[in-house]
Amino acid sequence: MKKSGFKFRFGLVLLIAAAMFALHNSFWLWPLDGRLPFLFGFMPFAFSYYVFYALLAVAAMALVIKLAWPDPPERLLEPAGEAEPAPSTGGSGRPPTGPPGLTL
Amino acid sequence: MSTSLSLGVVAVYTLVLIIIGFYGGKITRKTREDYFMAGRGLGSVAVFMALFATNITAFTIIGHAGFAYQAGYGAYGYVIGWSIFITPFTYYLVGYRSWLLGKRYGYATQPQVFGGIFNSRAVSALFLVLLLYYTLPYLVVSIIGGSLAFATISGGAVSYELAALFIVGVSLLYTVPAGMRGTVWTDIFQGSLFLVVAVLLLLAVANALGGFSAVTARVAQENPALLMRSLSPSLAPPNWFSFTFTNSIAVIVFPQIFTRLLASRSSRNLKRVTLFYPVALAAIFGVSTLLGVWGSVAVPGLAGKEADNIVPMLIHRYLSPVWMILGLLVILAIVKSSIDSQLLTVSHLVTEDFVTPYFRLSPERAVLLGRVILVVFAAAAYYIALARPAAILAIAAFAFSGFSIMLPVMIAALYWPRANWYGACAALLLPAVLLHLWYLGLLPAWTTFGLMPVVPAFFLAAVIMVAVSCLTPAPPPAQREKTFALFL
Repeated sequence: MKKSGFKFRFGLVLLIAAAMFALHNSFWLWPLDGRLPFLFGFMPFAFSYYVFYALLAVAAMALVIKLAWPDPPERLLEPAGEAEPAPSTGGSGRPPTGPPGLTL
Repeated sequence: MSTSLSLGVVAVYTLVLIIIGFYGGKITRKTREDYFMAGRGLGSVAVFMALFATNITAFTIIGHAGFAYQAGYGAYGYVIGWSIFITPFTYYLVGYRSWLLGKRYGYATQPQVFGGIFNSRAVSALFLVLLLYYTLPYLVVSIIGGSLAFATISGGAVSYELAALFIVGVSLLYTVPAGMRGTVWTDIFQGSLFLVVAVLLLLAVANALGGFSAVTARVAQENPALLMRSLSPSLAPPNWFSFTFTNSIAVIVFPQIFTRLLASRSSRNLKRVTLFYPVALAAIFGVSTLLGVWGSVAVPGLAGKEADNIVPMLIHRYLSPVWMILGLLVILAIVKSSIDSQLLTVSHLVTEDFVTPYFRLSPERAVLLGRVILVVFAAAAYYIALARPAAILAIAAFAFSGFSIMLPVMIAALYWPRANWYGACAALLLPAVLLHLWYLGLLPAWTTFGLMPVVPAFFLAAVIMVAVSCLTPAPPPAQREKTFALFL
Protein backbone atom coordinates (compact mmCIF):
# COMPACT_ATOMS: atom_id res chain seq x y z
CA MET A 1 0.00 0.00 0.00
CA LYS A 2 1.43 3.38 -1.04
CA LYS A 3 1.95 5.90 1.76
CA SER A 4 -0.11 8.66 0.09
CA GLY A 5 -2.89 6.16 -0.63
CA PHE A 6 -2.84 5.07 2.99
CA LYS A 7 -3.21 8.66 4.19
CA PHE A 8 -6.34 9.09 2.11
CA ARG A 9 -7.76 5.79 3.29
CA PHE A 10 -6.92 6.61 6.90
CA GLY A 11 -8.72 9.95 6.43
CA LEU A 12 -11.81 7.96 5.41
CA VAL A 13 -11.41 5.80 8.51
CA LEU A 14 -11.44 8.92 10.69
CA LEU A 15 -14.57 10.10 8.88
CA ILE A 16 -16.23 6.76 9.67
CA ALA A 17 -15.31 7.20 13.35
CA ALA A 18 -16.68 10.77 13.32
CA ALA A 19 -19.94 9.58 11.73
CA MET A 20 -20.33 6.86 14.38
CA PHE A 21 -19.67 9.46 17.11
CA ALA A 22 -22.36 11.72 15.64
CA LEU A 23 -24.81 8.82 15.39
CA HIS A 24 -24.22 8.02 19.06
CA ASN A 25 -24.72 11.62 20.17
CA SER A 26 -27.87 11.95 18.02
CA PHE A 27 -29.92 14.04 20.46
CA TRP A 28 -32.10 15.27 17.57
CA LEU A 29 -33.59 11.77 17.32
CA TRP A 30 -34.62 11.58 20.98
CA PRO A 31 -38.12 13.02 20.36
CA LEU A 32 -38.87 9.78 18.44
CA ASP A 33 -38.47 7.74 21.65
CA GLY A 34 -42.14 7.71 22.61
CA ARG A 35 -43.59 7.80 19.11
CA LEU A 36 -42.31 4.82 17.15
CA PRO A 37 -43.81 1.32 17.57
CA PHE A 38 -41.78 -1.28 19.44
CA LEU A 39 -39.46 -3.40 17.29
CA PHE A 40 -40.51 -7.07 17.56
CA GLY A 41 -43.08 -5.93 20.11
CA PHE A 42 -40.59 -5.36 22.93
CA MET A 43 -37.83 -2.97 21.82
CA PRO A 44 -38.62 0.74 22.22
CA PHE A 45 -36.71 3.11 19.95
CA ALA A 46 -34.19 4.05 22.69
CA PHE A 47 -33.22 0.36 22.79
CA SER A 48 -33.64 -0.80 19.18
CA TYR A 49 -31.56 2.16 17.97
CA TYR A 50 -28.51 0.58 19.59
CA VAL A 51 -29.30 -2.87 18.22
CA PHE A 52 -29.01 -1.30 14.76
CA TYR A 53 -26.02 0.73 15.92
CA ALA A 54 -24.23 -2.52 16.85
CA LEU A 55 -24.86 -3.95 13.38
CA LEU A 56 -23.66 -0.69 11.85
CA ALA A 57 -20.55 -0.88 14.05
CA VAL A 58 -19.73 -4.32 12.62
CA ALA A 59 -20.13 -2.94 9.08
CA ALA A 60 -18.01 0.11 10.00
CA MET A 61 -15.22 -2.07 11.38
CA ALA A 62 -15.35 -4.28 8.28
CA LEU A 63 -14.89 -1.14 6.19
CA VAL A 64 -12.03 0.08 8.39
CA ILE A 65 -10.30 -3.28 7.94
CA LYS A 66 -10.75 -3.11 4.18
CA LEU A 67 -9.57 0.49 3.93
CA ALA A 68 -6.62 0.80 6.25
CA TRP A 69 -5.70 -2.39 8.06
CA PRO A 70 -3.08 -4.19 5.96
CA ASP A 71 -1.65 -7.56 6.89
CA PRO A 72 1.97 -6.85 7.77
CA PRO A 73 4.70 -8.43 5.63
CA GLU A 74 6.34 -11.36 7.42
CA ARG A 75 9.79 -9.78 7.23
CA LEU A 76 8.61 -6.91 9.44
CA LEU A 77 7.51 -9.31 12.12
CA GLU A 78 10.83 -11.09 12.49
CA PRO A 79 12.04 -10.26 15.97
CA ALA A 80 14.75 -7.60 15.92
CA GLY A 81 18.10 -9.11 16.87
CA GLU A 82 20.58 -7.76 19.33
CA ALA A 83 22.42 -6.25 16.38
CA GLU A 84 19.48 -3.97 15.60
CA PRO A 85 20.69 -0.36 15.95
CA ALA A 86 19.21 1.06 19.13
CA PRO A 87 18.98 4.85 19.33
CA SER A 88 19.83 6.18 22.73
CA THR A 89 18.63 9.75 22.90
CA GLY A 90 15.70 11.46 24.50
CA GLY A 91 15.91 9.53 27.74
CA SER A 92 18.50 9.02 30.40
CA GLY A 93 21.12 7.59 28.07
CA ARG A 94 21.36 4.39 30.09
CA PRO A 95 22.25 1.13 28.39
CA PRO A 96 19.43 -1.05 27.05
CA THR A 97 17.71 -2.98 29.83
CA GLY A 98 14.38 -3.99 28.31
CA PRO A 99 13.56 -5.84 25.10
CA PRO A 100 16.04 -5.59 22.19
CA GLY A 101 16.39 -2.08 20.90
CA LEU A 102 14.83 -0.42 23.94
CA THR A 103 16.91 2.10 25.80
CA LEU A 104 14.90 3.23 28.75
CA MET B 1 -31.49 -29.31 49.37
CA SER B 2 -31.10 -26.03 47.57
CA THR B 3 -28.05 -25.00 49.63
CA SER B 4 -26.28 -28.31 49.13
CA LEU B 5 -27.09 -28.23 45.41
CA SER B 6 -25.70 -24.66 45.19
CA LEU B 7 -22.53 -25.67 47.01
CA GLY B 8 -22.15 -28.68 44.75
CA VAL B 9 -22.51 -26.60 41.57
CA VAL B 10 -20.07 -23.96 42.83
CA ALA B 11 -17.64 -26.74 43.81
CA VAL B 12 -17.80 -28.29 40.32
CA TYR B 13 -17.35 -24.87 38.70
CA THR B 14 -14.33 -24.16 40.93
CA LEU B 15 -12.84 -27.55 40.20
CA VAL B 16 -13.14 -26.98 36.44
CA LEU B 17 -11.29 -23.67 36.80
CA ILE B 18 -8.52 -25.21 38.86
CA ILE B 19 -8.10 -28.13 36.45
CA ILE B 20 -7.92 -25.75 33.48
CA GLY B 21 -5.43 -23.59 35.37
CA PHE B 22 -3.17 -26.49 36.30
CA TYR B 23 -3.25 -27.91 32.79
CA GLY B 24 -2.36 -24.46 31.43
CA GLY B 25 0.49 -24.30 33.93
CA LYS B 26 1.73 -27.72 32.90
CA ILE B 27 2.32 -26.70 29.30
CA THR B 28 3.57 -23.20 30.11
CA ARG B 29 7.32 -22.90 29.71
CA LYS B 30 9.31 -21.23 32.46
CA THR B 31 9.90 -17.97 30.62
CA ARG B 32 8.39 -14.52 31.18
CA GLU B 33 7.19 -14.46 27.55
CA ASP B 34 5.27 -17.71 27.98
CA TYR B 35 4.00 -17.11 31.52
CA PHE B 36 2.81 -13.54 31.01
CA MET B 37 2.10 -13.50 27.23
CA ALA B 38 1.16 -17.13 26.42
CA GLY B 39 4.05 -17.10 23.93
CA ARG B 40 2.14 -14.50 21.82
CA GLY B 41 0.23 -17.39 20.31
CA LEU B 42 -3.44 -16.62 21.03
CA GLY B 43 -5.93 -17.43 18.25
CA SER B 44 -9.06 -15.44 17.33
CA VAL B 45 -11.46 -17.05 19.80
CA ALA B 46 -8.90 -16.98 22.61
CA VAL B 47 -8.09 -13.27 22.10
CA PHE B 48 -11.75 -12.37 21.76
CA MET B 49 -12.87 -14.22 24.87
CA ALA B 50 -9.84 -13.02 26.83
CA LEU B 51 -10.64 -9.40 25.97
CA PHE B 52 -14.38 -9.70 26.32
CA ALA B 53 -14.43 -11.63 29.61
CA THR B 54 -11.82 -9.24 31.03
CA ASN B 55 -13.80 -6.21 29.84
CA ILE B 56 -17.10 -7.33 31.41
CA THR B 57 -17.25 -6.79 35.16
CA ALA B 58 -19.82 -7.19 37.93
CA PHE B 59 -21.09 -3.74 36.95
CA THR B 60 -22.73 -5.25 33.85
CA ILE B 61 -25.19 -7.36 35.79
CA ILE B 62 -25.33 -5.48 39.08
CA GLY B 63 -24.69 -1.77 38.50
CA HIS B 64 -25.96 -1.45 34.94
CA ALA B 65 -29.23 -3.29 35.58
CA GLY B 66 -29.76 -1.04 38.61
CA PHE B 67 -29.10 2.03 36.47
CA ALA B 68 -31.55 0.80 33.78
CA TYR B 69 -34.13 0.22 36.55
CA GLN B 70 -33.98 3.94 37.30
CA ALA B 71 -33.08 5.58 33.96
CA GLY B 72 -34.98 3.30 31.58
CA TYR B 73 -34.09 1.96 28.14
CA GLY B 74 -31.81 4.96 27.51
CA ALA B 75 -29.30 3.46 29.97
CA TYR B 76 -28.35 1.05 27.19
CA GLY B 77 -27.05 3.74 24.84
CA TYR B 78 -25.64 5.88 27.63
CA VAL B 79 -23.45 3.19 29.17
CA ILE B 80 -22.49 1.00 26.24
CA GLY B 81 -23.63 2.76 23.04
CA TRP B 82 -20.36 4.46 22.13
CA SER B 83 -18.32 1.50 23.41
CA ILE B 84 -20.01 -0.76 20.86
CA PHE B 85 -18.02 1.02 18.15
CA ILE B 86 -15.13 2.81 19.82
CA THR B 87 -13.79 -0.11 21.86
CA PRO B 88 -13.11 -2.32 18.82
CA PHE B 89 -12.04 0.78 16.90
CA THR B 90 -9.34 1.55 19.47
CA TYR B 91 -8.23 -2.10 19.19
CA TYR B 92 -7.46 -1.14 15.59
CA LEU B 93 -6.20 2.39 16.16
CA VAL B 94 -3.88 1.66 19.09
CA GLY B 95 -3.91 -2.12 19.38
CA TYR B 96 -2.75 -3.06 15.90
CA ARG B 97 0.31 -0.78 15.76
CA SER B 98 1.26 -1.66 19.33
CA TRP B 99 0.93 -5.35 18.43
CA LEU B 100 3.28 -4.79 15.45
CA LEU B 101 5.86 -3.15 17.72
CA GLY B 102 5.45 -5.94 20.25
CA LYS B 103 6.03 -8.63 17.63
CA ARG B 104 9.08 -6.84 16.25
CA TYR B 105 10.79 -5.64 19.41
CA GLY B 106 9.42 -8.00 22.06
CA TYR B 107 7.46 -5.33 23.93
CA ALA B 108 4.83 -6.76 26.25
CA THR B 109 3.46 -3.83 28.27
CA GLN B 110 2.60 -0.16 27.79
CA PRO B 111 5.72 1.06 29.65
CA GLN B 112 7.80 -0.96 27.17
CA VAL B 113 5.90 0.05 24.02
CA PHE B 114 5.71 3.77 24.76
CA GLY B 115 9.01 3.98 26.61
CA GLY B 116 10.46 2.25 23.55
CA ILE B 117 8.87 4.58 20.99
CA PHE B 118 10.13 7.66 22.84
CA ASN B 119 13.33 5.92 23.93
CA SER B 120 12.70 7.31 27.37
CA ARG B 121 12.91 5.80 30.81
CA ALA B 122 10.83 8.72 32.14
CA VAL B 123 7.88 7.90 29.84
CA SER B 124 8.16 4.24 30.76
CA ALA B 125 8.17 5.04 34.50
CA LEU B 126 5.20 7.42 34.20
CA PHE B 127 3.17 4.78 32.38
CA LEU B 128 4.05 2.20 35.03
CA VAL B 129 3.16 4.41 38.00
CA LEU B 130 -0.08 5.76 36.51
CA LEU B 131 -1.29 2.35 35.34
CA LEU B 132 -0.65 0.77 38.74
CA TYR B 133 -2.23 3.75 40.49
CA TYR B 134 -5.44 3.44 38.48
CA THR B 135 -5.56 -0.38 38.27
CA LEU B 136 -5.13 -1.24 41.95
CA PRO B 137 -8.28 0.53 43.24
CA TYR B 138 -10.16 -0.84 40.22
CA LEU B 139 -9.05 -4.34 41.24
CA VAL B 140 -10.14 -3.79 44.85
CA VAL B 141 -13.51 -2.43 43.76
CA SER B 142 -13.97 -5.47 41.48
CA ILE B 143 -13.42 -7.71 44.50
CA ILE B 144 -15.82 -5.62 46.63
CA GLY B 145 -18.52 -5.64 43.91
CA GLY B 146 -18.16 -9.35 43.25
CA SER B 147 -18.19 -10.27 46.93
CA LEU B 148 -21.28 -8.17 47.64
CA ALA B 149 -23.06 -9.77 44.69
CA PHE B 150 -22.02 -13.26 45.79
CA ALA B 151 -23.17 -12.62 49.37
CA THR B 152 -26.50 -11.13 48.19
CA ILE B 153 -27.34 -13.83 45.69
CA SER B 154 -26.48 -16.56 48.19
CA GLY B 155 -29.23 -15.10 50.40
CA GLY B 156 -26.84 -14.55 53.29
CA ALA B 157 -25.59 -18.15 53.36
CA VAL B 158 -22.13 -16.85 52.39
CA SER B 159 -20.81 -13.81 54.27
CA TYR B 160 -19.14 -10.91 52.48
CA GLU B 161 -15.76 -11.84 53.98
CA LEU B 162 -16.04 -15.47 52.92
CA ALA B 163 -17.18 -14.44 49.43
CA ALA B 164 -14.13 -12.17 49.05
CA LEU B 165 -11.83 -14.94 50.27
CA PHE B 166 -13.41 -17.39 47.82
CA ILE B 167 -13.14 -15.01 44.85
CA VAL B 168 -9.52 -14.02 45.51
CA GLY B 169 -8.42 -17.48 46.67
CA VAL B 170 -9.81 -19.40 43.69
CA SER B 171 -8.49 -16.78 41.27
CA LEU B 172 -5.03 -17.27 42.77
CA LEU B 173 -5.32 -21.05 42.66
CA TYR B 174 -5.56 -21.14 38.88
CA THR B 175 -3.77 -17.89 37.96
CA VAL B 176 -0.53 -18.50 39.87
CA PRO B 177 0.39 -21.79 38.16
CA ALA B 178 -1.10 -21.02 34.77
CA GLY B 179 -0.14 -17.44 33.89
CA MET B 180 -1.82 -15.92 30.86
CA ARG B 181 -2.42 -19.19 28.99
CA GLY B 182 -4.44 -20.67 31.85
CA THR B 183 -6.36 -17.46 32.52
CA VAL B 184 -7.26 -17.16 28.84
CA TRP B 185 -8.60 -20.72 28.87
CA THR B 186 -10.62 -19.96 31.99
CA ASP B 187 -11.81 -16.77 30.27
CA ILE B 188 -13.11 -18.86 27.36
CA PHE B 189 -14.92 -21.14 29.81
CA GLN B 190 -16.27 -18.32 31.99
CA GLY B 191 -17.11 -15.98 29.10
CA SER B 192 -19.11 -18.70 27.31
CA LEU B 193 -20.82 -19.58 30.58
CA PHE B 194 -21.98 -16.06 31.37
CA LEU B 195 -23.05 -15.26 27.80
CA VAL B 196 -25.18 -18.40 27.47
CA VAL B 197 -26.66 -18.34 30.97
CA ALA B 198 -27.41 -14.58 30.77
CA VAL B 199 -29.48 -15.12 27.59
CA LEU B 200 -31.28 -18.11 29.15
CA LEU B 201 -31.96 -16.02 32.25
CA LEU B 202 -33.53 -13.29 30.11
CA LEU B 203 -35.80 -15.82 28.39
CA ALA B 204 -36.82 -17.34 31.75
CA VAL B 205 -37.62 -13.94 33.32
CA ALA B 206 -39.55 -12.86 30.21
CA ASN B 207 -41.55 -16.08 30.38
CA ALA B 208 -42.28 -15.61 34.07
CA LEU B 209 -43.49 -12.03 33.46
CA GLY B 210 -45.90 -13.03 30.70
CA GLY B 211 -43.65 -12.75 27.66
CA PHE B 212 -41.52 -10.05 26.02
CA SER B 213 -44.43 -8.03 24.62
CA ALA B 214 -46.56 -8.23 27.75
CA VAL B 215 -43.88 -6.99 30.12
CA THR B 216 -42.91 -4.20 27.71
CA ALA B 217 -46.55 -3.11 27.47
CA ARG B 218 -46.66 -3.00 31.28
CA VAL B 219 -43.57 -0.77 31.34
CA ALA B 220 -45.17 1.55 28.75
CA GLN B 221 -48.37 1.71 30.77
CA GLU B 222 -47.05 1.95 34.33
CA ASN B 223 -43.82 3.88 33.78
CA PRO B 224 -43.79 5.49 30.31
CA ALA B 225 -40.94 7.85 31.29
CA LEU B 226 -38.56 4.86 31.07
CA LEU B 227 -39.09 4.82 27.31
CA MET B 228 -37.93 8.39 26.81
CA ARG B 229 -34.34 9.44 27.24
CA SER B 230 -35.22 13.13 27.43
CA LEU B 231 -37.16 12.55 30.66
CA SER B 232 -34.24 11.06 32.60
CA PRO B 233 -32.08 13.70 34.36
CA SER B 234 -29.11 11.31 34.55
CA LEU B 235 -29.14 10.95 30.74
CA ALA B 236 -29.05 14.73 30.09
CA PRO B 237 -27.07 15.54 26.91
CA PRO B 238 -24.03 17.06 28.73
CA ASN B 239 -23.73 13.84 30.79
CA TRP B 240 -24.34 11.68 27.73
CA PHE B 241 -21.66 13.52 25.72
CA SER B 242 -19.17 13.52 28.62
CA PHE B 243 -19.62 9.80 29.22
CA THR B 244 -18.27 9.06 25.74
CA PHE B 245 -14.88 10.11 27.10
CA THR B 246 -14.82 7.81 30.13
CA ASN B 247 -15.38 4.07 30.07
CA SER B 248 -15.53 3.59 26.28
CA ILE B 249 -12.15 5.00 25.34
CA ALA B 250 -10.51 3.87 28.58
CA VAL B 251 -10.72 0.17 27.71
CA ILE B 252 -7.69 0.08 25.39
CA VAL B 253 -5.64 1.80 28.12
CA PHE B 254 -6.44 -0.89 30.73
CA PRO B 255 -3.15 -2.79 30.99
CA GLN B 256 -4.94 -6.16 31.21
CA ILE B 257 -6.64 -5.44 27.86
CA PHE B 258 -3.56 -3.97 26.17
CA THR B 259 -1.37 -6.94 27.12
CA ARG B 260 -3.91 -9.44 25.82
CA LEU B 261 -4.04 -7.65 22.46
CA LEU B 262 -0.26 -7.96 22.22
CA ALA B 263 -0.52 -11.70 22.88
CA SER B 264 -2.46 -12.27 19.63
CA ARG B 265 -0.77 -14.66 17.22
CA SER B 266 -1.60 -12.63 14.11
CA SER B 267 -3.10 -9.42 12.84
CA ARG B 268 -5.95 -11.41 11.26
CA ASN B 269 -7.01 -12.58 14.72
CA LEU B 270 -7.23 -8.98 15.89
CA LYS B 271 -9.37 -8.09 12.87
CA ARG B 272 -11.84 -10.87 13.66
CA VAL B 273 -12.01 -9.70 17.28
CA THR B 274 -13.10 -6.21 16.18
CA LEU B 275 -15.95 -7.77 14.20
CA PHE B 276 -17.18 -10.02 17.06
CA TYR B 277 -16.92 -7.33 19.71
CA PRO B 278 -19.85 -4.98 18.88
CA VAL B 279 -22.36 -7.84 18.81
CA ALA B 280 -21.12 -9.41 22.05
CA LEU B 281 -21.11 -6.09 23.93
CA ALA B 282 -24.57 -5.19 22.65
CA ALA B 283 -25.88 -8.64 23.63
CA ILE B 284 -24.67 -8.80 27.23
CA PHE B 285 -25.62 -5.19 28.03
CA GLY B 286 -28.92 -5.64 26.19
CA VAL B 287 -29.82 -8.51 28.54
CA SER B 288 -28.84 -6.45 31.55
CA THR B 289 -30.80 -3.38 30.37
CA LEU B 290 -33.99 -5.36 29.70
CA LEU B 291 -33.80 -7.13 33.08
CA GLY B 292 -33.31 -3.77 34.83
CA VAL B 293 -36.20 -2.02 33.07
CA TRP B 294 -38.56 -4.99 33.48
CA GLY B 295 -37.60 -5.05 37.15
CA SER B 296 -39.03 -1.55 37.53
CA VAL B 297 -42.54 -2.96 37.04
CA ALA B 298 -41.97 -6.46 38.43
CA VAL B 299 -40.31 -5.30 41.67
CA PRO B 300 -41.29 -1.62 41.92
CA GLY B 301 -40.29 0.89 44.58
CA LEU B 302 -36.54 0.28 44.90
CA ALA B 303 -34.57 3.44 45.57
CA GLY B 304 -30.89 4.33 45.18
CA LYS B 305 -28.44 1.47 45.71
CA GLU B 306 -31.31 -0.96 46.41
CA ALA B 307 -31.93 -1.08 42.66
CA ASP B 308 -28.47 -2.63 42.12
CA ASN B 309 -29.90 -5.91 43.43
CA ILE B 310 -32.69 -6.04 40.88
CA VAL B 311 -31.39 -9.10 39.01
CA PRO B 312 -31.02 -11.29 42.13
CA MET B 313 -34.44 -10.01 43.26
CA LEU B 314 -36.08 -10.94 39.94
CA ILE B 315 -34.58 -14.41 40.12
CA HIS B 316 -35.57 -14.82 43.76
CA ARG B 317 -39.16 -13.65 43.23
CA TYR B 318 -40.03 -15.16 39.85
CA LEU B 319 -37.79 -18.14 39.15
CA SER B 320 -37.04 -21.49 40.74
CA PRO B 321 -34.01 -21.90 43.09
CA VAL B 322 -32.09 -23.59 40.28
CA TRP B 323 -31.99 -20.23 38.51
CA MET B 324 -30.52 -18.69 41.64
CA ILE B 325 -27.61 -21.13 41.29
CA LEU B 326 -27.17 -20.28 37.62
CA GLY B 327 -27.35 -16.56 38.46
CA LEU B 328 -24.64 -17.12 41.06
CA LEU B 329 -22.46 -18.81 38.44
CA VAL B 330 -22.95 -15.86 36.05
CA ILE B 331 -21.88 -13.40 38.74
CA LEU B 332 -18.86 -15.52 39.72
CA ALA B 333 -17.80 -16.05 36.10
CA ILE B 334 -18.04 -12.35 35.29
CA VAL B 335 -16.24 -11.21 38.43
CA LYS B 336 -13.45 -13.76 38.39
CA SER B 337 -12.63 -13.45 34.71
CA SER B 338 -11.84 -9.77 35.34
CA ILE B 339 -10.04 -10.18 38.66
CA ASP B 340 -7.66 -12.91 37.48
CA SER B 341 -6.49 -10.82 34.53
CA GLN B 342 -6.10 -7.72 36.69
CA LEU B 343 -4.03 -9.64 39.23
CA LEU B 344 -1.85 -11.19 36.54
CA THR B 345 -1.34 -7.84 34.82
CA VAL B 346 -0.33 -6.03 38.00
CA SER B 347 2.21 -8.78 38.63
CA HIS B 348 3.34 -8.56 34.99
CA LEU B 349 3.86 -4.79 35.12
CA VAL B 350 5.87 -4.92 38.33
CA THR B 351 7.98 -7.88 37.19
CA GLU B 352 8.63 -6.62 33.63
CA ASP B 353 8.96 -2.91 34.17
CA PHE B 354 10.23 -2.52 37.70
CA VAL B 355 12.08 -5.63 38.84
CA THR B 356 13.60 -6.99 35.61
CA PRO B 357 15.18 -3.73 34.40
CA TYR B 358 16.97 -3.29 37.73
CA PHE B 359 17.90 -6.83 38.72
CA ARG B 360 19.48 -9.49 36.55
CA LEU B 361 17.27 -12.56 36.95
CA SER B 362 17.19 -15.92 35.23
CA PRO B 363 13.91 -16.66 33.36
CA GLU B 364 12.88 -19.17 36.04
CA ARG B 365 13.53 -16.73 38.87
CA ALA B 366 11.65 -13.95 37.05
CA VAL B 367 8.58 -16.20 36.70
CA LEU B 368 8.86 -17.27 40.34
CA LEU B 369 9.11 -13.64 41.40
CA GLY B 370 6.08 -12.80 39.23
CA ARG B 371 4.10 -15.48 41.07
CA VAL B 372 5.18 -14.16 44.48
CA ILE B 373 4.21 -10.61 43.48
CA LEU B 374 0.84 -11.91 42.28
CA VAL B 375 0.14 -13.51 45.67
CA VAL B 376 1.30 -10.42 47.56
CA PHE B 377 -0.95 -8.11 45.51
CA ALA B 378 -3.90 -10.48 45.88
CA ALA B 379 -3.43 -10.57 49.66
CA ALA B 380 -3.18 -6.76 49.82
CA ALA B 381 -6.26 -6.34 47.60
CA TYR B 382 -8.20 -8.81 49.78
CA TYR B 383 -7.22 -6.95 52.95
CA ILE B 384 -8.27 -3.56 51.49
CA ALA B 385 -11.51 -5.09 50.17
CA LEU B 386 -12.34 -6.25 53.71
CA ALA B 387 -11.86 -2.72 55.05
CA ARG B 388 -13.95 -1.26 52.19
CA PRO B 389 -12.57 2.29 52.57
CA ALA B 390 -14.79 4.95 50.98
CA ALA B 391 -11.74 6.59 49.41
CA ILE B 392 -11.08 3.48 47.30
CA LEU B 393 -14.52 3.74 45.73
CA ALA B 394 -13.93 7.40 44.91
CA ILE B 395 -10.51 6.67 43.39
CA ALA B 396 -11.87 3.77 41.34
CA ALA B 397 -14.74 5.91 40.07
CA PHE B 398 -12.29 8.39 38.68
CA ALA B 399 -9.76 5.76 37.59
CA PHE B 400 -11.65 5.38 34.30
CA SER B 401 -11.11 9.08 33.64
CA GLY B 402 -7.45 8.64 34.52
CA PHE B 403 -7.06 5.83 31.99
CA SER B 404 -8.91 7.85 29.32
CA ILE B 405 -6.63 10.87 29.50
CA MET B 406 -3.59 8.70 28.77
CA LEU B 407 -5.01 7.82 25.36
CA PRO B 408 -3.90 11.01 23.51
CA VAL B 409 -0.27 10.19 24.34
CA MET B 410 -0.68 6.62 23.07
CA ILE B 411 -2.25 7.79 19.80
CA ALA B 412 0.35 10.53 19.25
CA ALA B 413 3.17 8.05 19.89
CA LEU B 414 1.83 5.69 17.23
CA TYR B 415 0.74 8.20 14.56
CA TRP B 416 2.81 11.38 14.87
CA PRO B 417 6.56 11.03 14.23
CA ARG B 418 7.18 14.54 15.59
CA ALA B 419 5.88 13.56 19.07
CA ASN B 420 8.69 13.41 21.62
CA TRP B 421 9.26 12.34 25.19
CA TYR B 422 9.00 15.89 26.57
CA GLY B 423 5.48 16.16 25.15
CA ALA B 424 4.56 12.67 26.38
CA CYS B 425 5.73 13.36 29.96
CA ALA B 426 3.94 16.71 30.11
CA ALA B 427 0.75 15.26 28.58
CA LEU B 428 0.74 12.37 31.04
CA LEU B 429 1.46 14.46 34.13
CA LEU B 430 -0.37 17.80 33.84
CA PRO B 431 -3.85 16.50 32.91
CA ALA B 432 -3.55 13.84 35.67
CA VAL B 433 -2.78 16.59 38.22
CA LEU B 434 -5.68 18.72 36.95
CA LEU B 435 -8.04 15.73 37.08
CA HIS B 436 -7.16 15.26 40.75
CA LEU B 437 -7.73 18.97 41.46
CA TRP B 438 -11.14 18.82 39.79
CA TYR B 439 -12.19 15.69 41.64
CA LEU B 440 -10.95 17.05 44.97
CA GLY B 441 -12.96 20.24 44.37
CA LEU B 442 -9.87 22.45 44.40
CA LEU B 443 -10.74 24.00 41.04
CA PRO B 444 -14.02 25.89 40.47
CA ALA B 445 -16.74 23.86 38.74
CA TRP B 446 -17.13 26.34 35.87
CA THR B 447 -13.66 25.39 34.60
CA THR B 448 -15.11 22.12 33.23
CA PHE B 449 -17.74 24.03 31.17
CA GLY B 450 -20.58 21.97 32.63
CA LEU B 451 -19.01 18.69 31.44
CA MET B 452 -17.36 15.87 33.38
CA PRO B 453 -13.72 16.78 34.23
CA VAL B 454 -12.47 14.02 31.93
CA VAL B 455 -13.53 15.94 28.82
CA PRO B 456 -11.39 19.08 29.33
CA ALA B 457 -8.57 16.90 30.72
CA PHE B 458 -8.64 14.71 27.60
CA PHE B 459 -8.43 17.65 25.18
CA LEU B 460 -5.81 19.30 27.38
CA ALA B 461 -3.67 16.16 27.14
CA ALA B 462 -3.91 16.32 23.33
CA VAL B 463 -3.04 20.03 23.23
CA ILE B 464 -0.11 19.65 25.65
CA MET B 465 1.24 16.69 23.69
CA VAL B 466 1.28 18.72 20.47
CA ALA B 467 2.43 22.05 21.93
CA VAL B 468 5.28 20.71 24.07
CA SER B 469 6.51 18.40 21.31
CA CYS B 470 6.58 21.30 18.83
CA LEU B 471 8.46 23.55 21.26
CA THR B 472 11.16 20.98 22.07
CA PRO B 473 13.68 19.11 19.89
CA ALA B 474 12.31 16.56 17.44
CA PRO B 475 13.18 12.89 18.00
CA PRO B 476 16.29 11.78 16.07
CA PRO B 477 15.51 10.28 12.62
CA ALA B 478 16.86 6.85 13.60
CA GLN B 479 14.48 6.70 16.56
CA ARG B 480 11.49 7.65 14.39
CA GLU B 481 12.57 5.16 11.74
CA LYS B 482 12.63 2.37 14.30
CA THR B 483 8.91 2.83 14.97
CA PHE B 484 7.39 4.23 11.81
CA ALA B 485 9.21 2.03 9.29
CA LEU B 486 6.99 -0.77 10.60
CA PHE B 487 3.78 1.05 9.73
CA LEU B 488 4.30 1.54 5.99
